[in-house]
Amino acid sequence: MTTIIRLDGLRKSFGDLEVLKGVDFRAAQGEVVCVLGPSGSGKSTMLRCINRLEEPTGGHIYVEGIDIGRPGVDINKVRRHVGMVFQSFNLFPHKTALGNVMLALRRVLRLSESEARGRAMSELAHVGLEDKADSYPAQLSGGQQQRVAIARALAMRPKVMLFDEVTSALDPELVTEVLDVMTRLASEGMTMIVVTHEMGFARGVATRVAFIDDGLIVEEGPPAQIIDRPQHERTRAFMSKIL
Amino acid sequence: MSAPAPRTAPGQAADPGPFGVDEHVSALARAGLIVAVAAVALALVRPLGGDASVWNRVATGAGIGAVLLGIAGRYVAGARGIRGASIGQAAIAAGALAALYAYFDGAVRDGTFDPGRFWQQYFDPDVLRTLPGDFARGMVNTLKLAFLAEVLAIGVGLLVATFVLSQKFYVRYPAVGYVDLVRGLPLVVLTFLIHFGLPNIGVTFSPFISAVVILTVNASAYVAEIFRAGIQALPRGQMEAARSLGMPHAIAMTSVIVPQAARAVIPPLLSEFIALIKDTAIVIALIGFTTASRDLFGAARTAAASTFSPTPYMAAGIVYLMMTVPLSRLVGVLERRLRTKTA
Repeated sequence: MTTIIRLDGLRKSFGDLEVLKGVDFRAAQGEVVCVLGPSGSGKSTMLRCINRLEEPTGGHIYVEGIDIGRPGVDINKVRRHVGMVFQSFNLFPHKTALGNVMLALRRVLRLSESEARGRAMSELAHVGLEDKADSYPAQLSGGQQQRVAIARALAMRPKVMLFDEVTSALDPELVTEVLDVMTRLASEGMTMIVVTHEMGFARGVATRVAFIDDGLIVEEGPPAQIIDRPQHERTRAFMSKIL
Repeated sequence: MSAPAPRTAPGQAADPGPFGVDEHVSALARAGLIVAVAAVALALVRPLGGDASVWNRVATGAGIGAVLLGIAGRYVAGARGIRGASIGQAAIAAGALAALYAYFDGAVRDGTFDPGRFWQQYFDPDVLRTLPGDFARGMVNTLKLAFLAEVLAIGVGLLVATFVLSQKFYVRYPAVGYVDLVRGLPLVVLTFLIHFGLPNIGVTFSPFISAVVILTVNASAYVAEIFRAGIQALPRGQMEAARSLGMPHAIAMTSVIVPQAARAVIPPLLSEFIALIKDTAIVIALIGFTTASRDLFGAARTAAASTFSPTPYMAAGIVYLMMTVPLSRLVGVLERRLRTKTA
């Protein structure tokens, strides 16, 4: 199995606050890794370092074997291969659903209008929203917006998808439609790193679960082991609170 | 003048009315309304006959007192969350009308104010007839200057705003300094520095170009702040989403950030255009004008100088209002539309 993402001793500080204290992590092709942990543990920061939305203060990040912190690496090229979905959707409100998906295809990949439109429509169909192509984000429910955001990231044909608490801002009845899309994506073999509080998703879909606390990965392994039979005291304390 | 009765919820105790004792209605507002009613009565009826000017003075005082009480009542009602705001408002309106009527009635009676003379001076039909041609040319010059300066200021201001938002301190600091300098200087000082200062170091502009340069420099600082605020008001996630898709910073700016900021920025830019229409008068008055280059106010000054009448100033004022007030209303409409349609 080829390694897509590798973190070596990743550190990140915000001023005096050290959020990541030397994280070692790997994700191989086709893996679905759920990252669990209490709030403030650093899980979102870790995810945001992988495409350098946050600049790490130490350690190395390898995407498909390339150290993306090395001078001369074009981070914009790296980001084409690393899709990201945010908690707050972050759709572009001045563009339709279709426009949101097409924008980077046109401006980054420089696809032709018809090529971009075709690919965007097929990605919207993939998340079940081809009939909403001409709707603006404000006209869509939270669940629909998040599915458009997933389609927008997928349209770049990324090698790995990062999900940053993508259901946390949704009303409970809208969570399922987003998790269903993610489950399907996992079954199609997409490599996914998912920061989440959805234990059902972690248990049912993840190939591996990593528990992170206080800036370090405390424990990782198959979901059944980490969620139901955690070895570490801190993991146990967290699971007993959340389950 | 009938007092608006405070509303009572169904099932609540009987409404004691504006003059009854109800601790849930501001006593100050109620007192204001009573005084206002008294002022109106005094001004209209002058109950005891005798010297009208005395009664007019009393009524003027009572009217002003009612306005003050009404303002205090409104404030108290708002601050304590009790009723009385509309009573206070009624007191302000009635008191102000009574005071104005009584004051001018008194002034007319003792001969210090002559309405006929006022109309004759400020709206002299013989003078008014001479104005349209020159005023139309002046108005065209005013709008030409304001529009040119607005367009140039949008260009310069957008550039300065992107510099102000730069991560690099050697780009940011000069831009911040420019904005501080221009915004901190009175327009008069800027005008003298550019129009009367620059010729001393060998840079001479025609009055028209001078005016455009001064107005552009002045407006560009405000426009830069408008753009900066518009861009910074966008959620951080917009830039992050764009960058996460592999867009370089410049493309993220041009295809995601600026198009969104542009819509939010239209009302304040229009407000800046209104300010430019008015500032044009100051700048042109300071640097002087020829028959060809004079603006609306310049045309008014020329006409006033040859007729010894304030009518041209009055007329110019009205024309300025005809330009600025509809634009102000338009700003309001656009702002409301932005608030309701965040699509």
